[in-house]
Amino acid sequence: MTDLLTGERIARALKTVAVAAVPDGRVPDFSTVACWEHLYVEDLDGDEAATWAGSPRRRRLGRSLGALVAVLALGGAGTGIAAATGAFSTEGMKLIAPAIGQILPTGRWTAANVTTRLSETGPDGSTLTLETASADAAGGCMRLVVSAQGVAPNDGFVACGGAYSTLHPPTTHTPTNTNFGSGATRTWTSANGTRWTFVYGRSNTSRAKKVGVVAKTGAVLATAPISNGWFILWVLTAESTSQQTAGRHLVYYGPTGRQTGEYPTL
Amino acid sequence: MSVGSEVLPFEGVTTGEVESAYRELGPSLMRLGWLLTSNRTDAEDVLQNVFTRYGRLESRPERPDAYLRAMIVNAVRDLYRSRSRDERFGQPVDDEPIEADPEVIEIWDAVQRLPQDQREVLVLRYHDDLSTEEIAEVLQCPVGTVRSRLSRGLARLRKEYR
Repeated sequence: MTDLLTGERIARALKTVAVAAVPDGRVPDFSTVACWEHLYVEDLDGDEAATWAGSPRRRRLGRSLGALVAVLALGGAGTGIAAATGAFSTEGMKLIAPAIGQILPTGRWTAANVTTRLSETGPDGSTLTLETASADAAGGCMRLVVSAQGVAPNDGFVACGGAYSTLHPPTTHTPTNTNFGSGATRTWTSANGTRWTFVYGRSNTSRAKKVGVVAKTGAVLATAPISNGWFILWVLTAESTSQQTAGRHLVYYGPTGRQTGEYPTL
Repeated sequence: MSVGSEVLPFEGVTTGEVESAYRELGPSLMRLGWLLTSNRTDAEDVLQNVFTRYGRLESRPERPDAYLRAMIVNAVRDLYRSRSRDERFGQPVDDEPIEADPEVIEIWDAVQRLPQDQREVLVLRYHDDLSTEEIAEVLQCPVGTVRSRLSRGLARLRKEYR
């Protein structure tokens, strides 16, 4: 038997299992990689967050966010998100969505057991709900639930609906219902014509996982300061490393893509 | 505006080059990642990490395919290092079982039991069909080292398979 294990048979075995495990259709779409690039760029772990907290870049972004929050509050756009950002502080580490959680200099989550919900109704009467929650002040639980009701089957969205849940130490790490899969991108159009693209990550390895919610031009978030071509990427991220987790950031994109260097002042 | 290829933030290596490389090599590189990790989720992570890094290169590598393969191998190594550090914080979800004839499965099981350095060489040799010289280029090691690992890997594989 031993001498029969030729290179040819090894090659056949490896190629067979590789194709079975990764059929062509299972490779993430390139646009997903592009989106993930955005997420990676803005991802912070705890140390980075701590460093960033005192940086000029951080302060500049703080001012930008402060302006944005004011506009959101005045405009009443996207009630869920507006409420979430309303408590933004230019001084502290309340980067965004402090109703959900805030990034401390240690990079840990705080603000336990708070849920923010954003609900939108589509032209067909369907309802999309985006719900986020953070429930572990010890530093590491984030949950994002995206659900759609009344959406016709097979429209590409229901397939990715369901719960996305990450639970981190000190208990267990339990990915649940990851039926929308890694890197899946789905779009949904709300009643006002806003087109949302959801980019899903997953959380079943110890490496940081990201869940991105991309609000495109004309989206609920695209209020006055954004009208000059900027739009916002609202990013939820989760880190599952010890004592550090989860960043969520507003990221500004201009007509030519993400601006390298400093963030613009709105 | 959409988040798509027209707004990619890649620098150095142009967006078109990144996209082209992804379309051409993405599936085979993901399979390489899978063969080195035995896990589709990890393979996706590795693939995405590699291409985000690739997009940040200041200049285009002379041989993108070899360069990207090397990045995959290194990304897998990085993944294992970080996992050993953080393993208590989560384990990957198991892939669905592979359906293939018993011999294929037995060989694959044996490959998975190899030490990582031998597994890398065998996968590059027999899955990617690289020569020992090309493997040496990917792994950035002498050809002799590749031959040695290949020889030891084959011997061990045959022993495991038996």
